[in-house]
Amino acid sequence: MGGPTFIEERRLGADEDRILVEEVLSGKVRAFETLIRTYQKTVFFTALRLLRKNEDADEVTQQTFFKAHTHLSKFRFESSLKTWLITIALNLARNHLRSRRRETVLIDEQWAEQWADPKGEDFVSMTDEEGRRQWMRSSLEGLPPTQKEVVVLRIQEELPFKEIGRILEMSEGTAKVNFHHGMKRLKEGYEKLQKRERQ
Amino acid sequence: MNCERFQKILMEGLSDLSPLERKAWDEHRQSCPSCLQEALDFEALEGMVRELPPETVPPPDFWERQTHAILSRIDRRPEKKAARFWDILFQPRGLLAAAAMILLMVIGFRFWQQERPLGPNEVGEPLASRLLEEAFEEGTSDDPMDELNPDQIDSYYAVLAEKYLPSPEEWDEDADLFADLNPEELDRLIDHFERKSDRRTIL
Repeated sequence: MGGPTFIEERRLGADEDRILVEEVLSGKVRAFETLIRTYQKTVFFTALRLLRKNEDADEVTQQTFFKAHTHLSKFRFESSLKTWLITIALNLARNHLRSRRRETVLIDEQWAEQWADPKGEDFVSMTDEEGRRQWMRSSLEGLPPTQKEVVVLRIQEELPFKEIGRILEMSEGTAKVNFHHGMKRLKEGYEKLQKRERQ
Repeated sequence: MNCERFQKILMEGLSDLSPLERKAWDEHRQSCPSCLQEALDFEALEGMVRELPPETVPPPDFWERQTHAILSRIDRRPEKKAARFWDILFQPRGLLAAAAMILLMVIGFRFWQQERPLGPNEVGEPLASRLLEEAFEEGTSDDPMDELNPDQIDSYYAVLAEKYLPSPEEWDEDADLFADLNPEELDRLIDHFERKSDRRTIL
């Protein structure tokens, strides 16, 4: 557990968050820029996972930081700054999806097809890195959306279950159950693939 | 530690474990082959998810452009205008404040009316009503008639005469002229008639 993540960002602790927010509120010009640079990748890729279009994720990221700047004085440090930003981004991304309802239906259909017949297992090889990546991407996409989101927030964003529950508007226990089911499904696929590799 | 507890910790993370629990977990990992395999699979999957690159990697200058776009969006945001009176009034808080102010004004006006001294030019029906009201209020010891000037006293009696004396054609010898007055009012009226009869011309 632990280790480097692909999305390389400077990770801030609660104290650094607080200092940064106080600097922004006191009018330090560069402070908000630092805040953007610190969290923009997390926000962008969170939005991208839901929206699947670079332009839409970019727009949602910009709106997220704009909104955060407007309401920063109301941020009470009840969660981490990162959780707060992800929550804003997901809400905006969901609104964005609602306005693109037809495409949302397509995404759901696509998900149903993938789940019925996960394509990853048919052509990837676990022996090379690219094969493993392809398999994992396809398997993650094959998870029900909530399980996928919990797995990604837990492993890639390293968020505690309590914060994940807050973001996804569910209890900590439900977040854990979703994580458990998501990992179990990934493991089932992984075991099948390993068995095939051995044959 | 049993296998169930081991796997629960595996899923939920080791960060909150006490040193003692961590030791027990590590020992179980070494001694239970199925749990060891479980942990190895989990860690492999976890590593794959963690190192999974994004589906699309934006061009190198993307983040810089995005940062500037956000900052210029914030700069372009219109300054908050000073709130106008009507804007404030029609906010829920404004309406509440207006209602409270109106209530205070009504209460204040009633209080002021009660306490207001008699004005020298106050005459006629309003004066009479007020005097009657004040004179028979419970606990009133001072006679408000004492504060009146001669014109006001005449005006007061004129109103009373008009109110309580019938016109000549309605006059009935047997009628009780003061039937509407209570004994206290009657006493007070008679007292005034007697004391001020030199100024009276109507009765």
